[in-house]
Amino acid sequence: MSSPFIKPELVCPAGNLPSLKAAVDAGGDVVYLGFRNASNARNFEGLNFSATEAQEGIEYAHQHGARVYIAVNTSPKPGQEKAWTSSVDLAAELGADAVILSDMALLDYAKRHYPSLRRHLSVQASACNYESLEFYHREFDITRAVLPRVLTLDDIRILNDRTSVETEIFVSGGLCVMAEGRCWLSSFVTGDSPNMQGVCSPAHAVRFEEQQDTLDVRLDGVLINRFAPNEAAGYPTLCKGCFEAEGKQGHVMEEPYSLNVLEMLPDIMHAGISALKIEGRQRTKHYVKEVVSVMRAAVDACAADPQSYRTQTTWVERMNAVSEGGARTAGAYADEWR
Amino acid sequence: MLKLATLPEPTLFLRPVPASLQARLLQNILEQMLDEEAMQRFAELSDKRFMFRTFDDVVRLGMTFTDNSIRVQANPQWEADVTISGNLPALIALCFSLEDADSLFFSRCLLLTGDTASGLLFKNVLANLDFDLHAVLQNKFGVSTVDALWRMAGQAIAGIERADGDATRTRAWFTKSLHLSTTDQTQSLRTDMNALAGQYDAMQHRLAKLEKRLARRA
Repeated sequence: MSSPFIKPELVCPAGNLPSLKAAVDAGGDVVYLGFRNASNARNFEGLNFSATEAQEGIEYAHQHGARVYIAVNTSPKPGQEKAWTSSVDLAAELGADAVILSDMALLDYAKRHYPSLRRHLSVQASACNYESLEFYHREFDITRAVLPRVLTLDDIRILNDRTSVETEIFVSGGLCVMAEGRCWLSSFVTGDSPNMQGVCSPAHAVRFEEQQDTLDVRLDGVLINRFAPNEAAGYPTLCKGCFEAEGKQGHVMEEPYSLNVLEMLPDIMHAGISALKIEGRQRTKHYVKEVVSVMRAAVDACAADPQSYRTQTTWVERMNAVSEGGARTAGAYADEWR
Repeated sequence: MLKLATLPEPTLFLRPVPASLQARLLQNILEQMLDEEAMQRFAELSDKRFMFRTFDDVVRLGMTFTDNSIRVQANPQWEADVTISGNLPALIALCFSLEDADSLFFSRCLLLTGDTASGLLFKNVLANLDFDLHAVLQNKFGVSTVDALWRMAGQAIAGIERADGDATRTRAWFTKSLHLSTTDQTQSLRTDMNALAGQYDAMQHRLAKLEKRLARRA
């Protein structure tokens, strides 16, 4: 069996209603969002949707031919499981088109209570091999898995040749150390992690300090970065911190670059991938509009004629203008050393 | 996409404007744009004092949130819990949700110091508002006043254009930011700029002639 050529759906981020509308208006096929609590992995102050806003967003998307997936993709805290199952209940009640889950208990809950509601395995579950996908499919009847950003395109192609589970990959936005669902770096310094509290580098622990010639970034008092004047700044995450190791100073864990796979689109579409995910629920409608517009144009152009598809300079410029690090990388998808 | 960092710092135009007037203007516009839900969410910030300042300190406005209302104060003497610094266009873009705040931070046009969590909440509540600055301004100050301001903005842009030879991006930013989307409005702005540019050329010509006459007399 070889992977068919698929025009993938474009799954776009929204941290608020204006962003959701911007994503739909810019041609997104799907918008993913989370509720305003710790049940999703973007639990930042002032971000995300109330039940009323989610309702309005779903109605808007459906009226315009788009779908909405709701992420409930953190691990329930012991004794507080109700808050997480309630989020699944709410997603079903509001008419979401799918729930994005990572915790097995929640997957089981969703399967038993809402068998007809599509279940997508979150990247937070970190499932990256055939056996793992089959396990989730067999036990929880998942229809799709969001793959962790550790696989090469060849790995993904091989996976898609075997599995009946749809796959979704990240194509744009911030990168992390690519150990989704298993990264505890933030916890070591702040006590909070994306897996449990839904937040990496929680804002309460972040401090930007203007010094004479530099901008210092501290996480719970620990100096993690120092930017020179006019040097492009990045998110205050530990993995993108600048450290001294073996006598050298630099980004020892992760460069502060953004993922951008525009040039790989023809290969991606030949790898049997069902959906392309844009990262950035923490961003505003302007970012969403810009990135979704570019990706829409690129995906349509590639699907229409993959052979003569070329990345346009203006697409790259527009993406770079709003990206962290202002640079693009194909991340693990193009790692030759593997 | 236009980067605000590339624009000239326009606080020059604000120097003659009294700080109290700047504060009143900002408060008036924010009151127009903030809905009930936004004010309720700002209640979480009731014990926080915000400072908005341009990098060159021409603008220094304090902001507090009490009893479901917002208060903007010029040059407050208190120490702020959260300070949001930036060049003027970036501060305007943040307050009126005209550009992506994270992009402005990455390009060092915007900086948040002090209580990051409160600053993030402020940014995200504003980003959640769906509003049109042009409509808000017209509603508050009247269509003719705002249109007059538009013409002034056009003249200011023309001035910059004559000064640095390239105000294309500045004009594009104004056009985008202020929702000058209709052909008529854009055309009107362009006509104003061209008229001003013509006047400037005529003035330069007269000055050159005057200089020559003075030189001859000398």
